[in-house]
Amino acid sequence: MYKKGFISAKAIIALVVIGVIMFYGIASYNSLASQNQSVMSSWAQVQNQYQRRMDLIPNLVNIVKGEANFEKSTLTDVINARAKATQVTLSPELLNDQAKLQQFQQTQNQLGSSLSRLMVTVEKYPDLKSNQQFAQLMDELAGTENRIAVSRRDFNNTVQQYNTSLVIFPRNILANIFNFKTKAYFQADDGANKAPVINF
Amino acid sequence: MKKLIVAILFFMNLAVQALTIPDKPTARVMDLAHVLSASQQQELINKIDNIYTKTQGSEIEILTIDSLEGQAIDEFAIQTARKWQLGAKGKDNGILIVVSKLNKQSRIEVGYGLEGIIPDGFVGTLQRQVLAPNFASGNYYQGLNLTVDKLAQQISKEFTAKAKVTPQDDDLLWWIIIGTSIGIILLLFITGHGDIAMTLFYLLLSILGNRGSRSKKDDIGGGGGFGGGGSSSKW
Repeated sequence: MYKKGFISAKAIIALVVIGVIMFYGIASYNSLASQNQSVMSSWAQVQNQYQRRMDLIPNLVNIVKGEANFEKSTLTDVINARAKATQVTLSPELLNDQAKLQQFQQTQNQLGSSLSRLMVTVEKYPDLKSNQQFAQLMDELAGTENRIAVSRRDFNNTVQQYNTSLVIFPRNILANIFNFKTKAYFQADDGANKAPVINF
Repeated sequence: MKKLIVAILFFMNLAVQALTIPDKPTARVMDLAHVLSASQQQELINKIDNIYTKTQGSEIEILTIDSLEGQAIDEFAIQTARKWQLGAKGKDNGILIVVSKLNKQSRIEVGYGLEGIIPDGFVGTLQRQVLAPNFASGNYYQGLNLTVDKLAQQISKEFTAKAKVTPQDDDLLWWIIIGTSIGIILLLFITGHGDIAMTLFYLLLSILGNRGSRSKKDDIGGGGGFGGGGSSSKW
């Protein structure tokens, strides 16, 4: 059909090379995009758990308020910390900003530590401790602290995978072209945010 | 060289965690702390097997260990539950009961699919009222037995026996794709495009290889969706 040499050997090789590069590019892009997506979804999980903690606090405040002459200061600390925490939100687009994430983490940690102070204070009130509803609320709070820790660990793991595949040559070139950026991690806590252990 | 690799693996393992997570046992009870007699173990295994078949593969597993060796029970429990992939695929209805004898601590880890009917408050109360008092007086079997009963009651509210595992539509689609591909390859062979046919054939093989390894992984264990739900207690 074609004249001999119409498609030369060189042209075929060039086509094959271009084809391979294109396939590599598409595969890399897809892999980065899907990893980016899993970072987003693990971030959503982190936010869910922090939100869950904030949702539990009004119940806690209500029960504790009912307790006569309960130490006011620890309670107001929690309420204030919660109010602050609701103001600092972090949309997933800003996840590559380490400073922003740290700020988010700090406000949440303040809430966490004010909560654990409250839980220690509660130990002094036998009426509260024997209140079944209160005990279950404490379980939920402790469970939520644990979920927060788990979701944060998962988040850091997915970010680490994503960041690693982002900086490896030659993928980093592609990442630059398509504007994939490394994302921030949660920093290890100084222990202030550890889930308090409560015994009834 | 082999020794070096073993040494590296050993130290990597050390760095990640002090306490190694055991492989998933074939029985539903793994009594490493030896707090149960053989017959007590069997009773619990029978009970849990029964729950498993009646509640769409809701999988309870009991693990007793001597000591946590400094690790937090919450961390150990979730890592174990995830490694063992407790629960049915897509349902995440697994529960892991961890008991550390020397630390006098227990944790009940609840899978995503059961968090709704078994909230943390329920698990906490259960441990305070049933598990911990029995454990404190040395009645490990009694504590575990009653705990499993209560959990089973709760599970059966959501997971009843009637629903069957539906065959995956996904599979049918795969067979159609494979069938068509083989047809095309044969056609190419017949029409004398042997080299293209071979390339496609290898491509098909590699896709099937991937798929094979994936579905194998899914079928064993299956669930394993744990997000840290449940509760811990001390006695």
